[in-house]
Amino acid sequence: MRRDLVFLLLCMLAMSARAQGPAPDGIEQFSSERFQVLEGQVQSLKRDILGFSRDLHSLMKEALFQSETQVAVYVSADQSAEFQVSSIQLALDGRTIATRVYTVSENEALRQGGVQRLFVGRVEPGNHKLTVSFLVSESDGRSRRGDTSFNFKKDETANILEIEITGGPSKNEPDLNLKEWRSS
Amino acid sequence: MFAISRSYLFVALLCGVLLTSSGVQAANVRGLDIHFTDIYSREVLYHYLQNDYITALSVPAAVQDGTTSDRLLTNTDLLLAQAYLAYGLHNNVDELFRRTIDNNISPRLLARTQLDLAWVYYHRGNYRRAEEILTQVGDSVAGDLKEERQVLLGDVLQAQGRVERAVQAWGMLTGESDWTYYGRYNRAIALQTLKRVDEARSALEQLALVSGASDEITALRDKANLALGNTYLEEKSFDRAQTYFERIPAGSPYYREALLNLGWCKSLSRQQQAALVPWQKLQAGDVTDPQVQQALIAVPYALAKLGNDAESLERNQDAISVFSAQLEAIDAAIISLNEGPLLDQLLSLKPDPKSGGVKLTTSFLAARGASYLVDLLARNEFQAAYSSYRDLRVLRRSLTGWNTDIKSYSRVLQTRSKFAALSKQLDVSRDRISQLLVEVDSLTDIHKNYIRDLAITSLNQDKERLKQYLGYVRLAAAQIYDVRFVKQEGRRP
Repeated sequence: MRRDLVFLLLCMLAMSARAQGPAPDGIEQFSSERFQVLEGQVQSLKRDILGFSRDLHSLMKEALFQSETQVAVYVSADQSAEFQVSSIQLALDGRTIATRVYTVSENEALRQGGVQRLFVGRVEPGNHKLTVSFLVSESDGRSRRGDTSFNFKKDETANILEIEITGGPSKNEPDLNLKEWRSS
Repeated sequence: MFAISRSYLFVALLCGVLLTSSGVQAANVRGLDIHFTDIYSREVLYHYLQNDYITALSVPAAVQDGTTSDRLLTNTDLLLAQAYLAYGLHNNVDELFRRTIDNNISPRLLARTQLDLAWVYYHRGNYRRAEEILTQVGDSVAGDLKEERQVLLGDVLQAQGRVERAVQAWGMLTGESDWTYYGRYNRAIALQTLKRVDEARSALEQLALVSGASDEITALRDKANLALGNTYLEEKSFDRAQTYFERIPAGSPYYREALLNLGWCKSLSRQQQAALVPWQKLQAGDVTDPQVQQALIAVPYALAKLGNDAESLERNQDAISVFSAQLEAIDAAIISLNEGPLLDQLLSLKPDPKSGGVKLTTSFLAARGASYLVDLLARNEFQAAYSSYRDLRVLRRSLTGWNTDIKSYSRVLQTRSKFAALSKQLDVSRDRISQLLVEVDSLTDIHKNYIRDLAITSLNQDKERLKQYLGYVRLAAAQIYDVRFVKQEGRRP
């Protein structure tokens, strides 16, 4: 008699597991009311912090930089380049104005079409020399140093310069170009 | 999840000038090749690709016109929309979509972003809005995006109780991407719900024979076999059920359930000896697994049915020991969660971008009772809370970093009288950071408590199940004692 009872219980156990049935394949919804309240609070805070971040950007921009004296220098990398950019040092008229060490994820972002703003600052109108010193890690593991200089003229509007790092003819050696962006 | 580069914050950009250039290489956004022709978009992209969404959303030149509602929706806006979604502000994306669409926009990036937004609304239970967005996407979008749209549309309709319409939506899937298989499976289950049994079986049968697909589709194939096996088991068609259970290979996530139910096929068709084969194989597995635990009950049951009371009693006693030890382990885990160590270990697990879940570590799994939390870690409610918790930690680091930067900046500005006004404004910013930090810390604590409660609730459910199992094996053991006692009493003169 009791053995049958255990059997019945086991059957119920097995059936109850199956009765839940196969769930539709997809992602469950966030049904918890408590979570929804929390999520609303997190969103609100994220919005506040983003707003703060933007205010701070605007504050610095307005206070520190006037367009007629501003120069911004960006770095980009060609998808075909078979080396990693380890570091770049930027000198304006012989004075170092920026130094940057690049991580793997930053290299990946550059390779995928992103540009990194390496420098933004005041530069007096007139002719200037920009020297870019670089250290790259080549695909065979060797490091290579180099530097290239470019001349540019600072005019009455903001100058936006892009240093393009390309693979060069051998793809394994960096080749630097300077691109000046113009208003359309 | 996002990371913020603080060094960026104090570098400003000239805005208001649209800078364009031709010959820019294509950028990879969500697997799509998109050409951005202005440098600011590419700067946003640089931060976006590094999951640094707050910086991406703060690039002034790219964002400033974002508040102008009469501006056309561009690829840059879609990139910003992706950053908003990743940062967790989907309402801002809805705002962007109110604009008229620029002719040069990438239709695939537009559809991708609309689909991402529709998923967000679906997860949050706003099915009407999700459906509206899916209607905007339309069915003219090509390839796997079209299939994804169709699957989500079916999910959204089903969630609203419009199951017939959901079945229709899934029935329109004709492609060969993973989405099509998901949709077909969901359709089969919906047909079962509608009691359209033959159609449901036919749909599952098709899935049950899929071969040479991805790991996900192989798992779906095994799930279809399991569903068919269970259907026939409930109908007491044991031989047919067995066929489906036997198709599920040893490496499958559904293998243990198949073994358990295969044993039931044999046992319910009065083949107890044969039932022992899958159950004993299962019994040798991880004792924290519910299927293994059920095998610990099933094996002595089959032995008793075979008249082997002595071994059955021994197996029941083994099961009692296992379940008692497991209950103690769960209690220890609950105590550890309440006191902190296990909660800290849980919260320090790293996200796994591949699976979308978390990476389990051996040290976490070695903690007493922690393996009972593995299922919880795969649940969306946990993952969403865990993601918010990690976001809050990142926000804290960013705010702290900004505070340090402002301090150093203020020191420099103090020496220059013409920047006195800015210096004051920076002081105001520091006060604001202090306020924001208090809010971040408070919400972080609330999330920690929430995650702890989720974990304890999950453990208590396991505890209740194990108590039930313990009751079964105790009853079975008592029954064998009773039978022996009756036999002994019967022998007495």
